[in-house]
Amino acid sequence: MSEKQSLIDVRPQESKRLHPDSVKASRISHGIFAFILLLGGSVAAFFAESWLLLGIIASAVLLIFLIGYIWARKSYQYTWYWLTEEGLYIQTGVIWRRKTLVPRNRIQHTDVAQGPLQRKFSLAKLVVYTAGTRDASVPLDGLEFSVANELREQLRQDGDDDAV
Amino acid sequence: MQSKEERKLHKASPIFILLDNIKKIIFPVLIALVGPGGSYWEYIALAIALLVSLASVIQYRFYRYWLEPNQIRVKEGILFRNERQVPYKRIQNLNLTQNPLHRILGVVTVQLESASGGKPEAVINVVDMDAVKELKRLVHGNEEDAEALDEQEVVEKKSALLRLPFAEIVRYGVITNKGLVILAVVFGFMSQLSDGALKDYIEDKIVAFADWITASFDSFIGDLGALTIVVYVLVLAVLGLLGLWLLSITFALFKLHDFELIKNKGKLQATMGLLTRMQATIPMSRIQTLTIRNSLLHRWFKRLTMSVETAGGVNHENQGLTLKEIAPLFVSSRREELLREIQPDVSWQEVEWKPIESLAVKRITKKLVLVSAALSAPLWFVHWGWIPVAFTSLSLLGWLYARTYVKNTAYCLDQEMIGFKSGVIFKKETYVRLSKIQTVQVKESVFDRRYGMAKLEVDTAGAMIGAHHVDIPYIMLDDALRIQNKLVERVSHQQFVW
Repeated sequence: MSEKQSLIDVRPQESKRLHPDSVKASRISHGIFAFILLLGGSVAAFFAESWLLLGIIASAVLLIFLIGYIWARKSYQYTWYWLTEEGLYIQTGVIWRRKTLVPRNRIQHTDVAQGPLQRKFSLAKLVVYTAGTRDASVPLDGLEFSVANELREQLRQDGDDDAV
Repeated sequence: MQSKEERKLHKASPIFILLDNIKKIIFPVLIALVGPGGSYWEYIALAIALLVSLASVIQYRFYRYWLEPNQIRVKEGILFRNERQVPYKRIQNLNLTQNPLHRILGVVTVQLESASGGKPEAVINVVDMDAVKELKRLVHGNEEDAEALDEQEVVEKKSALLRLPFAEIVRYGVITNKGLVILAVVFGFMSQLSDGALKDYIEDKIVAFADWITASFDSFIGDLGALTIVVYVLVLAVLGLLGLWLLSITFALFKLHDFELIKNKGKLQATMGLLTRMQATIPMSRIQTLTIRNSLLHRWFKRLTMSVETAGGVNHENQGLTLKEIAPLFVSSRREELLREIQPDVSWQEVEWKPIESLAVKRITKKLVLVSAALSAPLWFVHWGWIPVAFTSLSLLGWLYARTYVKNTAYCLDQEMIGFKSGVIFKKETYVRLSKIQTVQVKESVFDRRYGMAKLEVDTAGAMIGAHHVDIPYIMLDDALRIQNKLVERVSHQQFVW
């Protein structure tokens, strides 16, 4: 597996990573999710009056959280993006990898969105919309807020220039 | 010619609006009436539905539209007013529908589709021919294009690209076999019926029919002992298939009777239908993808089917009229000619197919051998001796499949378009002009990684889920990246025009 070149290896010098805080943010959201799961499980176990059930649920939730914890770092490591003259490239996926290209002149509009957790870390999600079907919206989650805005600005300005 | 005056619907509109509303509620109403009933809530709901549909007739009085120099403005609604402006340039398709009642009254239902997806942008239900002519002239921007749906007038016009005589429609019915769909609808309806009088009646009929067949069988062939059941199954299968085909042919006749495809100044216009006449118009430049289908039955009859996708949102047949199959069936030898007519800006002669990696045979076979193992394992409960037999034959089939699959799968790329073909029994080829490409994706699965392969996917507007698209599997990663780069270069030099 190792000697063969993978999609992740073929990327230009100028490719950029997401903001490192995105790992933290995603871990926290995993934690919140696990907590809610655990809460629901405990209520169920309380009504079933079974310690065994509580134990099973707790260990399952812990496992889910651990996977999420590791995954957050992994997916950060495998996510890259870069902007070229032609368009925006986004490289994602840990096991199933994909490299999406959105040509500049195909961008319909862009969104920069921020959730409460992301606001805390001043992160943002950039969503690029195209007229396509499967890729009608191409998200890039975990950018620094200012970077997301900058990226959007670049995509928009240059897009206008290109519009012949 | 572009008057700003306010226009209303035709006086006959309430009839059609009411009919439409009845059509929408007829099935729930039938089910409510035929079903076990019991709860009087159902009757209340029924009454409300009836009231609403009656009230909506008043809609027509509130429907206004204006044909402005650059756009059509539509105002509708009683309580919730809605005003909508659609620039003529944004209108993707203009569809006309006329059922027998329309024809008696000399009116048409018009659908305007933009690229927004979902419902048609505006439905004008109904107006007379003069209004349609004017609308067509404005949307398509030329004068003499306005023509009636009446067959005589259309026939007199230009020579058609494709006409479907009766025999072709029969072949179409046999090839597509939509009978299954109808059967599914019938069964769906049956399952909706809870134990009511109607269900009992239908069941009785079916049982009686089966009895009759059995009886006539026995008298005809006599008792065959253990073989009887086999003969029954065979005969029933043949009868069923024939029945389905008949259904399908009937269906095709209603839909495609007197089908005609005309090319007129860069637009494709198709007219069809036995009772309900329909006319759809697509500007050729708005075709997003073009697919040619070639199934086993197609090959048998030496025919092909050509369909297109447009960005106009109505992609489901039940949502409205679409011109998906612009050439439902044509002789294989006309392939080149039709392609050239429909997409003239692509050089179809120099199409050079490149195969996918031959290593894919190994990969697919591996996958199918695993599937064969899983399939033959349960035979243990019958007799262990069956397992090796089933496994070997299934694996062999798998290998044959993989070989044919790889042989039939190929892609082509030139200055104007990218094409992809695949399929073993149902062969399909799809072409996308580069100016219609939205995004390009290179995907690499775990298995791909082991072989250094990848998959290339091209996304377009208006792509239907499950349809054949340019998704090229089993190519080397380097090739995929090279194609992606090449596409980028060319795509970014071509502005997307819907």
